[in-house]
Amino acid sequence: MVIDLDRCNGCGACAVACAVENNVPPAHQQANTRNAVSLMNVSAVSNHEQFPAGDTAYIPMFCQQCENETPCMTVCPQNAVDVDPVTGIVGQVPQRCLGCRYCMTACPYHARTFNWRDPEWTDGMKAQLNPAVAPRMRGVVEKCNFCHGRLHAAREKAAAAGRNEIDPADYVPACVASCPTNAITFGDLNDEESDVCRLSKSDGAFRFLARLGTEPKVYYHTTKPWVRALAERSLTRTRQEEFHG
Amino acid sequence: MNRKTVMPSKLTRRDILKYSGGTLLGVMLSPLPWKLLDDSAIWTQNWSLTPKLSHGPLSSLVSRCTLCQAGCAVQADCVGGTPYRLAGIDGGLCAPGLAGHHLAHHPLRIVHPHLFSGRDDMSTMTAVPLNEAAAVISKRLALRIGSTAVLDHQPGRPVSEQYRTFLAAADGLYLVPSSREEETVARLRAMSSVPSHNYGFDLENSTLIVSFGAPLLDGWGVPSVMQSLRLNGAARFVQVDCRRSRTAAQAHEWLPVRPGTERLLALSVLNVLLHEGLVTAAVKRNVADLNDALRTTRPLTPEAAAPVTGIAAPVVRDLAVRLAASDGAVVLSGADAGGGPFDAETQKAVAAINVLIGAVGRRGGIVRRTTVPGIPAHAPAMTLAEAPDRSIGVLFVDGADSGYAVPWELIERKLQKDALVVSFSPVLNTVSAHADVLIPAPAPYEAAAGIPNGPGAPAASFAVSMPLLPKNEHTAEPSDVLRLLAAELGIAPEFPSSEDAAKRTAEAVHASKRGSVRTPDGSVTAVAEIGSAEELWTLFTGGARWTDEPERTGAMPRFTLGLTGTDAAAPTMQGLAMIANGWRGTVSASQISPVLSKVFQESELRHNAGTVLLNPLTASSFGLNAGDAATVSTDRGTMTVRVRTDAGVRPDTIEAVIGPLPNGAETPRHPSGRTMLDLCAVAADGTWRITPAFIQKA
Repeated sequence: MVIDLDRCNGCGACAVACAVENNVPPAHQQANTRNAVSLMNVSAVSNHEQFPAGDTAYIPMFCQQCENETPCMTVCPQNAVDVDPVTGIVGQVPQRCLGCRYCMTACPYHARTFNWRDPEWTDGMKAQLNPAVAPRMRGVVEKCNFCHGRLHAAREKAAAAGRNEIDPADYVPACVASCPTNAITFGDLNDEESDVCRLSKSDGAFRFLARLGTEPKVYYHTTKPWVRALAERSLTRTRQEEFHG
Repeated sequence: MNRKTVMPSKLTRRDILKYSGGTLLGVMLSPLPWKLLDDSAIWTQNWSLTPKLSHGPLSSLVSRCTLCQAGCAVQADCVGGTPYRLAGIDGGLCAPGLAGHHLAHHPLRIVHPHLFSGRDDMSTMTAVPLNEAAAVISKRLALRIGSTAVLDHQPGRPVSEQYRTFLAAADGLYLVPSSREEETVARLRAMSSVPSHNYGFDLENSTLIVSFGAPLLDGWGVPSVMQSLRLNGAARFVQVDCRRSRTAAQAHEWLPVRPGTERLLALSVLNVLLHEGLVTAAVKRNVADLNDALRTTRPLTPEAAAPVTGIAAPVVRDLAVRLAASDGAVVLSGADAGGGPFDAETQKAVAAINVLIGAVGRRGGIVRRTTVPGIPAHAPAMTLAEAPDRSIGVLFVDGADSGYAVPWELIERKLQKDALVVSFSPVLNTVSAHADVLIPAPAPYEAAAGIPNGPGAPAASFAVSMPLLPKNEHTAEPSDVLRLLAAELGIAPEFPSSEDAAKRTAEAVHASKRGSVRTPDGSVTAVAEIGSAEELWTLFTGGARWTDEPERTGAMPRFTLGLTGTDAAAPTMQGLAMIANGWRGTVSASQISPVLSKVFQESELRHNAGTVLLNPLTASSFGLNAGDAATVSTDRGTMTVRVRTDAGVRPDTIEAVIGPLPNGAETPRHPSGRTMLDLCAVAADGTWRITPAFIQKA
């Protein structure tokens, strides 16, 4: 996946589409950014220049699908993290999760969230849950898995048509499909002919915390140097930064 | 040495303790307690609180979103006939639109007609049958105390015609919101010698789009179209904005004008146009009061205005020259969703720029728009702010959403003492929570609805939103209520259901043989080639949109600009300037799906109601840090708010977020409670963009 941060305008459509697709419950009254259950979190970041010179970028942050020594997988005592050797997608098996949250500690991207409470929807909304995705229970960790329900549907469609390979057009995660600015490109990074491969190697493409060597499979792209500089920093804002905006 | 083994003669307390401790340790070392803990955890995890999923066949339906007037085409994936996810067809949906199917099940959804005992959060609601609610209204109408009025949040729909018909019989006022996308074209109509002409913005062919405060790239018009205009680079966006709004941040150029000086900046642009020979002779001939305009703008040079507006004179001069030179330039002003409209004089100055650069009637500018067949042209509707104060005895508030905030103070000002307010909203919101009678209309996707032109669209269009959800049997369409009232009052006209009204419009479109129909798969068919009205209706129910041919403009009308001067002096204000702002469709004038908490509450992408943004320097001068609680005071009252800091905020201002209340699936806050909107000073002309305010640590 490649996300063009110059096109992203922070509309939040990806975060909402993700919640609807993956049956992520709405916030409870006291929820905040720290205890949220969000598989896709879009953050506004600033270059800290004073008005009117300031600039803002919006960074969709979710599981970066680490290729090398996947940190969450290596620490999970329950074997609840599963990397698909064919697609490279890092999956989470909530039924195996015991809620120790080692994976949340290990994840350098803060991309995992913990279900502190039972999921809650209004009665009518319960009937509107995606039938392809089981709701997760209290006490387990969850994260983005590139909409595995859509992947299964694409595989079933391919199987029904007698094909071994899915049609790339049949499998697009909800965030990609919903983006009104087409800022997110999805595909096979190993396919040299694909747009996603080309974009991942273009000028301005980068990965967050690349120095850790986890080889994330999510790339970002921007022409703004100050945004690229953020890629090597911790994602947690310091108190100093909170103060200075 | 002999050693004797002595058996204990009795069990001591120490022995019992040792035995108990050993047993406990032994059990702890066994898997038993841990298995019990694990099982009980799993048992509680899987209580009925974790819902089971719906069963049934999967299907896909097509409809149109009615959350705003853009009417985006929607594909709904359904399980057992119930939609579980929505996706845009010919462009992405906005975040609220992606969860529009949840609104029928919003925690604040109302499904029965109710009578309220008062207008505050302590009021009680009593569910009543529809007939009883209608009887209360007709009794009040029969008294003929004050005017009868309808506030229509989405004018131009088939149901809007029914409101007009009812009001014509009842001699009432048809009102539209003060804040809307078509602010500039409405002002042009009023300045024109032919006010019945309709206008729209031909933005898709524009090369230079100058916006005074309109949130063009943050939900304005059809959001996906506006974004594609920005991204394909055909048009250059220039945003004149006193704060670093989302549109200002995305525009190609941003002119950070000082708060409250937008009118002076527009007049200084007019000064350059009029006094530096940038207006063509043909345009001059079309302006009835050119000499007045020359006289009014003469002292307002860019140099005189610059110290006040904060925009350097060469920048203003350059902008005026580019506007005059570009053959696809357009200028528009627009309300902020939370901050409300500009005052009439600012709107006039902006509209006048269009006249003087020749943008009216030109490709890429402001073009004449035909009307939808079956929906007649009307003179410009009166805005809520223009209605006489204390004149309305019975006010009907339409249940659709304009997307813009409507301060209750502005409505209340128009009401007579003991006036009756009837709301057709399907949910409790900041307006319907103050009503006396609530007759909930069907929620989005519960009933068919005709969707006319998108906001500011250059050509007349029509589409139909088909129901995706079963209609709640206790809800009533506005036409049902109007029909009951007409029968009680002896008013003759008939009021068809919204689906029948949409069908009649489709018949009129077919009969006109004008324009073409575009289906969601992209195929285009001329109406003249469609065999019957039924065939056209079938296309509409499949998500098609009819678009008219461009209006053959002919001779342009003359315009009377009616400009008035202003002092080139900075507005004086005690305290900080509080600038209200919000995001269209989320300002509590309606409700949004609870999952929008991902945007408003569980991330810092947007802010909930009760948040203020301060520049860090301003915050520190008041001893405030990010996350602190603070009290904001204006002459309307005091509220405790949460402070966020952002270096992008103009120093010495408070950006007051007019956002949604936290509205998760639990008990939401009562929407009639005070919000930041209630702290804004609503002026006599219905504006509340800037309010003097004070802030201190709570």
